[in-house]
Amino acid sequence: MRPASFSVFRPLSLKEAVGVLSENDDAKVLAGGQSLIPMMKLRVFSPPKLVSLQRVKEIQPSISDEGNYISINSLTTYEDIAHNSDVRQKLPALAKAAGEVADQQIRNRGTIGGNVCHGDSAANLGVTLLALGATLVIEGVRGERKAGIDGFHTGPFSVALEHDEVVKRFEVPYDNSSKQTFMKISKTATTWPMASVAVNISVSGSTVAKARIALGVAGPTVLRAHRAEAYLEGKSLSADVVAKAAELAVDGLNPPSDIHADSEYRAHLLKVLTRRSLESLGV
Amino acid sequence: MAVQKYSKVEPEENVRVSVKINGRVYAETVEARMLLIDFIRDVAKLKGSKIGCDTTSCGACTVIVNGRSVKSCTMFAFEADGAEILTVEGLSADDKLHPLQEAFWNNHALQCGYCTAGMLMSAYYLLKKNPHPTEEEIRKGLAGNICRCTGYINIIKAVKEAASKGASA
Repeated sequence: MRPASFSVFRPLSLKEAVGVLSENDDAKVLAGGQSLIPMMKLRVFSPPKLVSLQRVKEIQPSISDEGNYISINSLTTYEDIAHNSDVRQKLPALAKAAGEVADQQIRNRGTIGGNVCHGDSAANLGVTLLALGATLVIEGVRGERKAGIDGFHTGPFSVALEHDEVVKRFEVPYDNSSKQTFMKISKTATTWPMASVAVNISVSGSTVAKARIALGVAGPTVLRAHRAEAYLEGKSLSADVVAKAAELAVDGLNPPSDIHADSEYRAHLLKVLTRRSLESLGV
Repeated sequence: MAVQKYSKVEPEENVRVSVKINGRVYAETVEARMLLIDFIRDVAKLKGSKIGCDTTSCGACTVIVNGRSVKSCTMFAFEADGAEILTVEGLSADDKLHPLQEAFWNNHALQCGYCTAGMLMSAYYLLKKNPHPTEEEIRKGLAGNICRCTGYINIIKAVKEAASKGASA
């Protein structure tokens, strides 16, 4: 299987990249290509033009600790993120999620920008960055803007990005009171997850001050479990509280059915993962 | 507001690709859509790397690009322009098998052999990063490579043996 013919633009700067996009409505952005290339080979998608970000200087792989957030450029690979010492120490859920994307070869090529902008509700990093409350820094022909990740995922494989915009970097906040993890269940490394969950709680004394819980493959996009989050605030994570929060996380949820799991089973797995995730935080 | 014209970036249907594979430079103008595995097999005429599933699942096409294992069926040749690539043909030196190849031989870690080139390259990458992996780490390191003959047990044994003999060096 080979992709249909296309022509490629290879800009060297973000300004060139967004300029090319603004002038070519039929162009598609190529980052690490680990989702786009298989789709093009299967001819699910045959864009006549690609804009390869590979040489764009401002978004080359880079991770830096900015004091209260970690800044991650959009071409940074899963492998870079999984092994970065700042990420492992301050954003352990993100390190775990990146280290569990597909397999080694895909982690060596796939990027954080591609993962999030592809808009797959099963994407490890999409789920985790939602729980961590990341901010996206986006470049367009009209300049730079920032957007919170809440609301960035607008539908299946759809994100709130204009055609002539490119995500430059992610700013992922951290603080010492945060406890967080990511868990997923999938049959093999490269198959789509049956369910995934990222949990991020701020602890004050022995109670939860603030909670963010994000669910993967739970609906058309990555979703937050708002009712479970609200329920947890001000409570200690006793077995009963954790069980109730897990129930609330999936109450009214209608996850998709596919070859990997049907809707009912998927809802059950999401509940189990939410419970296990909260238990693992040991509060 | 007037939008600036960025005409200096032109689209290319054909791209000049120059890569160093196993120490030798191969340069050719190819279609933008050419996959790296096709460049390796059809332009460089190195047939060791295989196309298995062709859908980013099986890992038979695994090669090392700039020090990292990748599935060469899921990378365009133009993305490798300027890169240094190692394929299975580059593992052995002076007609002597690489210790990983020796260990695969000793442990009967292949039957049909179709996955072997990819398995070797993934194992090579693993031992470069982690010279003494646990069995769990070997399993995780090879999770992107599928074998439909041996059932993996002998492959894992071979990687362990190669590691114990210092194959990462």
